[in-house]
Amino acid sequence: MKSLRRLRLVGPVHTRRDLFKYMGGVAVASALPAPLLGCDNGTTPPPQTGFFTDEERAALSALANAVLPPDDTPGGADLGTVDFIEGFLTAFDAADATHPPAIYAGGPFSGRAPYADDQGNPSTNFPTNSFATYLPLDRVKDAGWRVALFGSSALPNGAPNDAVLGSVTGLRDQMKAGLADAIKGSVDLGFGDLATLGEDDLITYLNKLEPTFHDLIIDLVSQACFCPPEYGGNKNMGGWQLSHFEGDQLPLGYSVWSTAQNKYVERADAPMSTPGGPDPEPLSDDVVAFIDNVISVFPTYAKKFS
Amino acid sequence: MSARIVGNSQLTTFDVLIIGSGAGAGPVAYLCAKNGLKVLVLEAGPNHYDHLDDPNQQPVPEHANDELKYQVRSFIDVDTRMDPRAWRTAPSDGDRLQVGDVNGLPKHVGGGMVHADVKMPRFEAQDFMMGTILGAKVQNANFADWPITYDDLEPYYAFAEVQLGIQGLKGANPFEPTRSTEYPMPPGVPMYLSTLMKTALSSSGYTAFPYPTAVNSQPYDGRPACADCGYCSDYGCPTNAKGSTAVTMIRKALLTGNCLLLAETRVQKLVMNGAKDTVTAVECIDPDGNTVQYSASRYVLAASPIEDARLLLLSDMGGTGVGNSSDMVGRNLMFHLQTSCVGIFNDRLHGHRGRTVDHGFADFRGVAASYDPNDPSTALGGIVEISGSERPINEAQYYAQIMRAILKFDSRIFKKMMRQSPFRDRIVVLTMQAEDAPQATNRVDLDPAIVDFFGAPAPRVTYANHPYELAASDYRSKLMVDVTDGAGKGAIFKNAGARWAAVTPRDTIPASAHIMGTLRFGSDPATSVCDATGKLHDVTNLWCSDGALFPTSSGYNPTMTICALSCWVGANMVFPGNPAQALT
Repeated sequence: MKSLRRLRLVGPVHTRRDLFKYMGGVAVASALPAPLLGCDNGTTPPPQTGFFTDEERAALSALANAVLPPDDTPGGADLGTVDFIEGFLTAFDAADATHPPAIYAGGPFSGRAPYADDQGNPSTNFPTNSFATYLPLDRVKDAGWRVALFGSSALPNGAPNDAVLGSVTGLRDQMKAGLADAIKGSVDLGFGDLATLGEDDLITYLNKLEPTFHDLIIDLVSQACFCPPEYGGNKNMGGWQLSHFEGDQLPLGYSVWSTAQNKYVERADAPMSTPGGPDPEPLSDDVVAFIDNVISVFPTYAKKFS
Repeated sequence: MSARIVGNSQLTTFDVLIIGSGAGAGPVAYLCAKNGLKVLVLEAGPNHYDHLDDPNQQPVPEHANDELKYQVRSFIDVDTRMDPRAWRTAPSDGDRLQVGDVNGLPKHVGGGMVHADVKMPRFEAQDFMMGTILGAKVQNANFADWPITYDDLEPYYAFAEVQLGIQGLKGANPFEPTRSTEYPMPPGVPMYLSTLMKTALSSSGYTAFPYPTAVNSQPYDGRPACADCGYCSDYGCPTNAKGSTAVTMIRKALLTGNCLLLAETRVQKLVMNGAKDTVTAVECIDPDGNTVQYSASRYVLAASPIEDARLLLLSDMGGTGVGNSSDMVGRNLMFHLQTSCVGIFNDRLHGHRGRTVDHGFADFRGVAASYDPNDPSTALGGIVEISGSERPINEAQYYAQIMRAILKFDSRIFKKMMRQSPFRDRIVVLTMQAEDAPQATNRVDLDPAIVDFFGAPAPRVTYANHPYELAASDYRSKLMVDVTDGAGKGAIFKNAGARWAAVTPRDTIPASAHIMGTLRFGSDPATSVCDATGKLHDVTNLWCSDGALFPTSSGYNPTMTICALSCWVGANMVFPGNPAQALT
């Protein structure tokens, strides 16, 4: 199936690939360190690397809550948005011959789920967490990510097509400039100090941000709140919990092969081929009304069923 | 990143050099190596498997159930700034409309088969005869018969199914072609939403069947049974239960001792003799950025259709392109026009538990005996995939996309949507492939200004849909919405709570990841690039073994046929005139 990111509604597609439009370019020169599978040094980047000032961190926390407000579940700030974004923007800062840049967590397993026993039940044997180390980049990906984060000036000759497409502004600069404008704009528009705005004002102000920065913030907060926690976001897996999503489940999985019975066994706690238990959070009237509205203005053939 | 040099590093001279390591490369590599030829495989991208050539243990993948890594940070997809493609609909658009991703496939060991959820139906027998069936009836299209028939290819389908490990149920698809064998494995556990859809489709007169897939439904060939983790389409498999060529045919080739694979080795051009009818070497950029050459007696293009055509054009800069006396190199590029319908249910269907797609139906493909431009029901659609597999980052970005499209981002509704997950945990997505009418004007050439990281001209895709596939899509998209509505068609959906359904707007730039044509094979050198065995008409020692050969696209997923065709090409290289001998 096409994933949601490849399904279009109307308006601009805003996806992983489009993220590059925010990013700039450039180059690197050095080939990345040789791959070290099993290297245990490249751990999750420490939070608060110093890239953001305290003022910027406070503003970004406020914006994270503006995107995903706290209720009886955590909001964007408590889920670790600032640490996640800072870790991403500084992915190359601590990289060296034995510490790959903090872009791609390793595989195959996180250690959150166990191996199955011979009956197809969860065992007490868990794999080690290979998500906790990062993977080296090949030289093309290395160049691409440096351009994305630092802009065209990261490569000696700029990004490949700067002459035709224009030079790339790095995501680090975009974030710094966007935050500065957001902090200033909150005061200029009469809202006051962004870091201390009430929830209603915050949500209102979010939609008054410069459009590109507005979209970038929503994208990054979405990534931060629902990514594997090794990247610094989704603290305590709170994002997955509020979304009633189990997260990564290997090596156990959902249909579990029993070597003793020579057949599949399904999990009672997370059935695959049958309905689950009671809906932990059914559709609410306002969400139904929202989807009704979406369907009524849909640009293609669409139906609300009776 | 695992080893860049894999296999028998003692080999220094080669009989066959294969460019690429995906679906079109693995089978030909294996057939050549198993029959004693010395094979060099050059892969432009990295190797994400440790122990790929270790006979004593299964490969250890760097793949993981990590949505950020794959969906946001493009772990296996190319960096489209470093590896851009240009796109336009016609020369009248100017040099290009857009630069970036144009139906890209991953560049790494295993190619596009690693990211696919490896749906592997065979083509129907009629799919090899569309020139005869539709050639005279569809105007401004180049429907052509294949130079081989389904019966010619059937033994190679059967062979490849065993090597790759295909699950399925013989006879379940009423339109299935004759099979000489059972599927190597029975169907695995179905998703809940598949069981719902199967019943509802039946009440509408359609027949859902277990989708043939290269996914283990039991321990097979040293690889484990799939655990239905849900991270399948767009993800590499962390357990090797998915039978991509990396862990099947490429690995088998490496284990013969007759094969060497070099990763991060990007072929820049074919070096030709003075007459331009023989390849003497390939020029590459090695992992450290050095320009190097490798040579062999014979060469195989298997880098996928857009890159295959690009390489032939790059190899004769200032000329017309290697192998291009017909002016057909790059032409008749085909993508499947995919039509998707999203149904939203009251109930949670937990579509993230499963293999992305485990059932489908082929009634919209039907049987084509004719075509009437005034009757869209006669335009061939394709197989329809039943799915609903999603995860929360994509979900969040989708809600943001919807909100932006309607008016503005609504934070409180966004939070509720993430908690209630109408577009993740309650969806059924139907996706139909469709016969893509081949057109000479749909083509690959070199962009006049855009280059890749290494300075090579980027491929430019000029592509516009033909009215034929648009008719099929328009007509059947409404049926897809209606079939999602239980009212009047049986109670099953009503009971399960189908509430809305909508056809999603078409891609502006095709994103099917089904790429076919550009080096079509045929018997006439004036109208085709390759002959019936995949050898280029114009070049004495150059073959193609991937989807570039397809004269027509069918309405079924192409990968099984790419693999079968790669076996066919390899077998003919090993035993010309008696290719079946290579399978024994």
